[in-house]
Amino acid sequence: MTIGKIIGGSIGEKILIRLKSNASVDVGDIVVCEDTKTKEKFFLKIINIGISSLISNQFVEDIAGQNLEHDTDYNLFDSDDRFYKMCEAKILKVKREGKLFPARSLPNYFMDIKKINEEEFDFINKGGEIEIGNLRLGTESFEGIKLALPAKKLISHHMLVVAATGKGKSNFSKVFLSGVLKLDNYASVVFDPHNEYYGGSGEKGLRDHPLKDNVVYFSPRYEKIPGAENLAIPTSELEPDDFFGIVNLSSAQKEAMMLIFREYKNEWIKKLLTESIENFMKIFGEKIHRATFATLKRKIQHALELEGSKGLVFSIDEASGVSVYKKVKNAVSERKIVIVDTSMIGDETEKIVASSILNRVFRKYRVAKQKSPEVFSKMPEVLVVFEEAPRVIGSEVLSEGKNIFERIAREGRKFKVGLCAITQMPSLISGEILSQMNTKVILGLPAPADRNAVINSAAQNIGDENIEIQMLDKGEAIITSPFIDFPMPVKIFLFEDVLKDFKVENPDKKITLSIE
Amino acid sequence: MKIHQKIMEFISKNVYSKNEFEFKIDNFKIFKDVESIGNVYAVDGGCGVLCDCGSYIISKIKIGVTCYENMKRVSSSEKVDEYYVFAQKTDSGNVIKIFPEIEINENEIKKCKIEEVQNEIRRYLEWKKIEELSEKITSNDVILADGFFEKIKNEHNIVFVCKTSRLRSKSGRPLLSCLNDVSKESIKNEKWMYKISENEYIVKFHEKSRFCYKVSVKNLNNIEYLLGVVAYYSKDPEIIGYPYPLLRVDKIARIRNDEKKTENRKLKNNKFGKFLVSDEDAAIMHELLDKRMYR
Ligand SMILES: Nc1ncnc2c1ncn2[C@@H]1O[C@H](COP(=O)(O)OP(=O)(O)OP(=O)(O)O)[C@@H](O)[C@H]1O
Ligand SMILES: [Mg+2]
Repeated sequence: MTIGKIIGGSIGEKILIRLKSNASVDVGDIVVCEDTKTKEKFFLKIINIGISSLISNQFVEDIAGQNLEHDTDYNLFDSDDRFYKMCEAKILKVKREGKLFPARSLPNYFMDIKKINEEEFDFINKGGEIEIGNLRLGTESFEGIKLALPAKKLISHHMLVVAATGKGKSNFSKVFLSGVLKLDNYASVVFDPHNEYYGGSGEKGLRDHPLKDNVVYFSPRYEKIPGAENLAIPTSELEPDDFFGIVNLSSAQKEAMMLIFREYKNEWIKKLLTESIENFMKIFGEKIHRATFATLKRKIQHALELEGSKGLVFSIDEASGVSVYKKVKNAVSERKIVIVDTSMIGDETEKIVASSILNRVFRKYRVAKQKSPEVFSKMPEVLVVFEEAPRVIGSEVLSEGKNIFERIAREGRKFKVGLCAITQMPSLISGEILSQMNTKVILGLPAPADRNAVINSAAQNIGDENIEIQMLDKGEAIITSPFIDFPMPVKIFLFEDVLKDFKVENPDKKITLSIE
Repeated sequence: MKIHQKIMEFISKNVYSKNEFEFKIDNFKIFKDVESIGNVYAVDGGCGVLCDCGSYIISKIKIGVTCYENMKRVSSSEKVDEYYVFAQKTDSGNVIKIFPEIEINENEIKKCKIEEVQNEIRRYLEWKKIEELSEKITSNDVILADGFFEKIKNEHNIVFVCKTSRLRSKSGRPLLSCLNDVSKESIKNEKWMYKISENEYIVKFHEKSRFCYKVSVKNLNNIEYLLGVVAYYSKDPEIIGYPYPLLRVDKIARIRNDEKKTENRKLKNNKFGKFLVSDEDAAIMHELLDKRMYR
């Protein structure tokens, strides 16, 4: 059925469509235009809809006024001809002699616009592994058409998951991780401040996944949870690096930490916290100021949430058993998903847990690449998932010094370590780091500043999707990535449904987005 | 005193001061709209000069018909006929050739100014169209036309609406505005008609309209039904009080400047059209001067 006609536009700008009066079209819809002259088939996406009329504005205002103010008896003759809707669209792809091309030509005047048929969706390329949702046109999602992201490169080139609160960021991450679980050559480390990834107490999580054996869960509450590992880290395993760019430290304080570390090695924190300032002064003399000791003691005690010598995660006790760091590294090598429950510890402590774990994982990858490329080539790509990411890669925190998250964002892809940064407020992250997040999963973002931050840093032109992004509902996303053809409208699966459907190998038509 | 004020002073003393309106309030007749049970047709023509070479002119004429039923346009009954007219001035009167050929009494148009030829033919074709339509309509149908045609044979259900009128009151004011003013005070919120001669009325088709129109109707038996139906079709807010089908038919029959330009180009761009370029150039010198010097 014809729903409109081309009435103008250009490739660089927008294509203008006059809609048929009874046509129902949403922003985000994909429509087709077959040019009867050139035999080209255009796939267009609706990016804006407006109302328009053949009558000058002044008259239109008068018409409304007559009715409002004077209750005039009137009848709009030929109203479908004179008052109608117009859309702006952009060309996604052109099909010529059965082959697909990016838009380099235009349909002619008055060519018919039609709704797309399901079988025409094969204009979307094939070749990805991680199923994340159904194709979505406007608000309508197509159950029969599944979209998948390619894992290769996409994971190590970082992801950004953005949305206002409650729009489905965590759900997406869980769905994505379920996909990662199925793959052979990928691992993940998830820091979970809301304890929502592993599941329990009625909520579904990765522990309900059929492949749950490949999930390792670390929690300070491990005793109550079967199979969970204890998240306990002796301070002897920490290094000054783990605090840098995380805890707010002056350069004098950083220097002091290095000095103390060099002096006492793995006892440095124990000494710092237990030794009297007088004793320290005797040992370090002029090198460290008295006040610096006092502040450092307080800051580190606080950062590790130590009450006396014990905290929920950190403690000054001697190391016993296999260290958490080692277990995490092993799990990663075994291509597992590691979930670290940080829901019971404070923000700063959580960041130290994450930073210390990542420092060690990243070091392992870096060293492997330099020393034994053979081993490195067999190591899985690893995805680090971090919620409320501006806490570690925001402009504000990074202005105080670099940290491991920033480092991964900048050079992780060389070492097969990717960052999946989840946030409600991308505008707090610098444009430079946002651009490193090559793949962006954009769920509804009402705030203009956040939308602009994401749009300006996207690898594809998604300025035209601005309005759509603003209107996205729960679970509705636009995914932009250099590894897919064009910004893809998706209705993300609900994680619970993914669990339900997992065993049945789906005979449905599957379309994936890679451009390999 | 400024000259503009002088002008207006003269007019107000000589035209407005004499307060001798010949109208009587009783002559206003109030009427209601009537939901039409038949079709409403509207006929109008448009014409325009495509190429003026001084001694000869090529023009185009469009005769449009539109049709409404239950306030909805019947697309299949809407039609525009196009004609081209070549008119050349000679010592023995105008030489005229119409494409496609039609039967026409050439005597009258032979004598008129060649600029007028297209208008004469347009009026003739409009009249023909109205005649043709009036043969086939039923007694519930109404034909609306712009202007007035004295020589219409079949006089059933044809309503002629004039947009402009040179009618005057005794004092010399425009009649339409006099009546309108009087009616504003005495007949608020009503549609009215005012008979001014055997077949002519001044009519306000919508109570909220700012305008009234001169209307000619030959079939007087049916006058309330006819005007009621027209009023029923005069509710479009774009020009409230003016019959919408006439607005529509004006739109489709009008020849706009773009169209004239395109047609002009087509006349020149063919193997016989070359000479038209120089013929036209010679004739439009003053136009060029106008454009260069006074714009
Ligand atoms: N793809 C989806 N389909 C249907 N419902 C969804 C989808 N995604 C999320 N929801 C619903 O929205 C709720 C909130 O989702 P989620 O917790 O993922 O949001 P969030 O963006 O992570 O929120 P927060 O900002 O609080 O972290 C979910 O509990 C679920 O009911
Ligand atoms: Mg969340």
